[in-house]
Amino acid sequence: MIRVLALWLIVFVLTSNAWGQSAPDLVLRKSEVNRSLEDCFLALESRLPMRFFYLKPWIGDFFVSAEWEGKPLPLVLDELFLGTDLIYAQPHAAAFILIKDPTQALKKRALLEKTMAEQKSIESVNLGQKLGGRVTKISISGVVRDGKSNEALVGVSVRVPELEQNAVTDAGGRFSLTVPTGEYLLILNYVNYEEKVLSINAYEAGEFVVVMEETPTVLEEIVVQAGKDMTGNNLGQIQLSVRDIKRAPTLLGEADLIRQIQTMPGVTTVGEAASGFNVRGGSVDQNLILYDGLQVFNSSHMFGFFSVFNTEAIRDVNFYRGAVPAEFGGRSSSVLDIRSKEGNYNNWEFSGGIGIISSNIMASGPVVKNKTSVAASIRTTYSDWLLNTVRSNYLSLENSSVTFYDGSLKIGHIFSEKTKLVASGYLSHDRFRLQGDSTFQWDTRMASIRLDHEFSKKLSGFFFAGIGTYSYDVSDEGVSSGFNLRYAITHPTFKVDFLYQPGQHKVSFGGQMIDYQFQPGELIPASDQSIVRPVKMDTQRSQEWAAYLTDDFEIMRGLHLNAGLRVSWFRSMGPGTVYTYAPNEPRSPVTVQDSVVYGKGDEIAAYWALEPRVGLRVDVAPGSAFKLGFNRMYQYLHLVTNTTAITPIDIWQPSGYYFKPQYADQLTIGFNRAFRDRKYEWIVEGYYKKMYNVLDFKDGAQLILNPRLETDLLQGDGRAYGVEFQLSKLAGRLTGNVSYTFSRSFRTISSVFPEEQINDGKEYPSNFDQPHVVNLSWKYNLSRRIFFTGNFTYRTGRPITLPVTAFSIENFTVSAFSERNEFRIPDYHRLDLAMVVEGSHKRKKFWDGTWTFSFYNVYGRKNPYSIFFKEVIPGILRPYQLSIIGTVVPSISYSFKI
Amino acid sequence: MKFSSLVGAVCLFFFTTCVDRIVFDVPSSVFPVVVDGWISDQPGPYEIRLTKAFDIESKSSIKTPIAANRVIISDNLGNQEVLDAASQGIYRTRPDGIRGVAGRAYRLRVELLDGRIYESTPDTLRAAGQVDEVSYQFTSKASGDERVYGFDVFFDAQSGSSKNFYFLWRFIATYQVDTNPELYTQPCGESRCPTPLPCSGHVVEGGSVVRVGPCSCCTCWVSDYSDTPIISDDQFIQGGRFINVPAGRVPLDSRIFSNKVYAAVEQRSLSRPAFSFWKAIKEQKEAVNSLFQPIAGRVPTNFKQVAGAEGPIQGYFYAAGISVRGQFITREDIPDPTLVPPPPSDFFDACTRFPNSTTTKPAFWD
Repeated sequence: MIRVLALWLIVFVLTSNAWGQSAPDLVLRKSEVNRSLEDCFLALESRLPMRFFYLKPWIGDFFVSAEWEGKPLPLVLDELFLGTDLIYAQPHAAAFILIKDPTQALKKRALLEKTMAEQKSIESVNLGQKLGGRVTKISISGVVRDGKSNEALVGVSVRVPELEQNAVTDAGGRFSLTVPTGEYLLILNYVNYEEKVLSINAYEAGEFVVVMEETPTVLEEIVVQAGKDMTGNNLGQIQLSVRDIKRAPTLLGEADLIRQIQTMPGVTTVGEAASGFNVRGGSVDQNLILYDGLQVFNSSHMFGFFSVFNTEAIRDVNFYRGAVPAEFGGRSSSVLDIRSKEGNYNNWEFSGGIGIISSNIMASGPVVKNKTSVAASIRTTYSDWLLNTVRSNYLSLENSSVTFYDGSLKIGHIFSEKTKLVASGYLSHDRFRLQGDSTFQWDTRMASIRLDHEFSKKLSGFFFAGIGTYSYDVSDEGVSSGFNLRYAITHPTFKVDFLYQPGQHKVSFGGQMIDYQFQPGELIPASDQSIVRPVKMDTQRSQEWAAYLTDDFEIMRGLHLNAGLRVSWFRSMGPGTVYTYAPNEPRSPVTVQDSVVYGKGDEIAAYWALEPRVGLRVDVAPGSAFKLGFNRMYQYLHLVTNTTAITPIDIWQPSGYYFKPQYADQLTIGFNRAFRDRKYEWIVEGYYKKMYNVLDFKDGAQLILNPRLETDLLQGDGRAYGVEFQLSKLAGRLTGNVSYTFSRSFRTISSVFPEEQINDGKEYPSNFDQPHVVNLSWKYNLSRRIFFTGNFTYRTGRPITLPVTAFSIENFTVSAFSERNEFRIPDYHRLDLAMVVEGSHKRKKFWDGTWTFSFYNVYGRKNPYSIFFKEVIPGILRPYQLSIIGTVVPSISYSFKI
Repeated sequence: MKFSSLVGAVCLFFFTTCVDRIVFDVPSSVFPVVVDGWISDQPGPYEIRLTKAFDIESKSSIKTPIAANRVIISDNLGNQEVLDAASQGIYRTRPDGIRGVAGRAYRLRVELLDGRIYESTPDTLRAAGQVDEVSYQFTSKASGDERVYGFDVFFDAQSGSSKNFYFLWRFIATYQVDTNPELYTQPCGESRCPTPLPCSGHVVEGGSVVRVGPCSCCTCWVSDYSDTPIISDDQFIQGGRFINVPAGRVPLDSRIFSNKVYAAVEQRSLSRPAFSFWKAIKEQKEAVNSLFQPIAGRVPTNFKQVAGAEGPIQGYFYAAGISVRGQFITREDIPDPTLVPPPPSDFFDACTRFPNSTTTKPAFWD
């Protein structure tokens, strides 16, 4: 050890001197290039009063090409020796000493030993033969595929530790690196997959295929936690580990993707079990949730208790909250891109889980071996049975119903190495009914088909067509009050993406079209006796078109740029009626003056926009990078709600004659550093976001079945800023992370009319303004099979508008409310713990089982879900707090895999 | 859509308590002065009431009157009147004093004893328009497992000007009540003893109730107002008129229909800001008791403080043109008289127990 340190010291001193020299005289001339390095040295020695000290065998392979003419020698040597164990020193102006640096060899050996100790296999890849030729730069590239489905894996981190080079696979699963000829280790990491280590002999440019295997749930490596490489290209991008989601403490045994998202820095939620999430001061509708390429409009079962995504069926999850790639658009805050699993092309597999309120099962296997695969999953609840078993004095729950189910089907067919077709379907259903009350039902149905084709090594294409429907139905069976309220959105989606890789550039381009058809609502009396007045809202139709172009390239070593532009265009079309209002009056039902009727297909309004997206990464040291990003994102659909969370009966309003598209500009700056052999990482990201045309509602707005929503909704601006810190420990018995976010979020709604202002046009905190957020999550491995996980969350209470006093006017007693969002609800905090017991870690076994014991809300904190006001005395409103989960909720679940 | 019961079921699902009272720390300095009053184109006197807003934690909505140094109504032509103090916190104009005129703008100035002075922004009085017709319809509605009966009252009205959008209507059902205060009893021992109220003109003599003078609280006319203000809504507009606007409901109550009911609709033509004030009140009245209640906002005020230590104020001084029309609903209009519930056998009381009542027979009654 002392020897190594001493050597380091010498090298450091020598190299320090070397860096300190300026070498204007050491510019190579024509006579000194296009020859071997040794000849170059000899020519320099004859021209200048200097000597080079080296051993001939060390530099036998190096060649100084003609392109180096006019370049300073130190630069040439830096490039030539990159990735080798040679370094140089210049102790004084007349001497150059070449040194064999043992640290590279030591590093490589340490990596190898570590990999072997972890019982990981190291695959060899040979590109050309070592023939003692010149050391030159070559381009090596690869395609990373899933071992079972053969599907290209997007976003895999590829690292060459010796060269401190990184790459990330693109939409076609490809990566490319330019390296000096030599021998290296290639380490590939991908969330939910086992780390892959390749020993590569790179002497010729070439391409190879890397197959990665999904991490078996029951095979937990204790030391390394994969998929946490923070040096990826995208600022604010997080890949979520499905395995971690499954291992996190659960509510009633249901692993929940959305709940896991809510623990990320910069992500908050407005309440316990609230549907959706808020990203960096944005509202819930500003998040684009994609499931296999199609939008999901409601991500919750049971009003927000559980997510609609069955984690057994999910392959990977990418969450973008910073520099969002130009490929994505349509929402102004974030993108949650979820892809489901493809079937296994080789063997049949079965997996499932049994929880307190639901169970799920998944089957995956080949229909035609190595050609066609199928994956099917279904999850259903028995909460209905549970509800009917409960006896209570509060409500008669007999004949009540709380049910949900979801299922997915995915069929893949490989036509050739270059062409694959995948068809997928998804459905989700909820039904909630109480005796003598309304029945709520909401459904999501989606189907899509995707064709991947590789036109050439440089050009790949992805063609997508799909259709999705979100609908809800509220019905009441009362004789006189019976009604049926229906709402639906249908959104056929077509998308084409291309990936072109000429040399160092990765160019993505493509386009998409979504044809939205809205049925904003229809109220039908349930019977002849019903006094309900039928209401039928006009259907609405609009189209969203977009084209994008992105280039991802390394400008120079350590400087990586991802720049893109998205052009979007939105048309609101007839049939429809647009009301006009009296001039110089606020828009109000009573100021309607006329209406304009548009025929089918007539253009009511159109908007187009340019959405630049830029991400810059500067690698300042191994494992450390500085990142800068800017993106503008347009949003053409608006969630119309006067609650803070998404409810199943909210409506989505397309931009049109009165509602302008909302958009957000976000500037993000970040720095991350991995240290102690990447066992620890810290990240800090700051952002400033300006939002335009955000929607808010007038006091007392009536939103459902309102044909003139423009009279109840207001548009204004918002701004948000914050800084997010995260420290992660990625290795060891105890792993986990702690994050703290300070952020603010404001809105301003001003107008010349006082009626169209909020808080007199002054800036006010948005509903999602939660300045302090702390999240801790951890996993402690008691053994290879048993571990404890937990998380703790703290958030400042969100703003609220409260009745503060009451008064009487003409015998009407009313409450006087504070300014909008002047007060805050109590702070939110919660501790969850879980113990996970996995089966044996033998690779070949018939049955793998995992038990998870969870305690949700360990200390029984009554966190508010909603603050509502009861009229205890006519006109006097008093606030009450609704805590959905006011006690510790233990649960047990079992998952298996065959 | 009863979200509360729905979420209640969810709560039960988790076997846990859901709803708790929560008290926020509201600074006492926010309790404002409340100004309640307006001026119309009808003859005065007009009344201005000054009270203090009450704490939402208070057990009743008892108003605390506030005394003022001076209360002044003025118009944009320079006319003004200093109101007389009728009682603590109540100020009235003279019967022959100021009266609203369409086209003029009115403001109120309140000078409190502690030196604070508030002034309202001028509000222009608009022509009243007209209530054309009041109609009614006998209907039954489900209430739990039972059916309840009553008369739904509607009206037709017109604005009188294409530039008048903003109206407030108040529905008033006036009916006669015979209270029989001479039959009032109180517990004595194990039974009840006759205790006629003093205003009944009866006394107990020798164990019998004997009339000794006139009764001043035996018959009264009670006015019930609609719980929620009715404001103009375009869904009832046809050809520039408000048609078949629901005004309110008169329940088939034995006391109300002991005789007949005068169902009247008062139309007030408002300025846009005054309309916003009433709209806020209406919306709050309709939004209560919903778990997913829309956030009700501030009720606007048109008062500004011009002097004194800073202190908040609530209320809206506005000027309105008035039109009133009414219609009697009699027992003969009830399709089946047996539907009228029997009168309560154990209730006798005085007119003083009825809010908004008078023992003076209204001019329209006969």
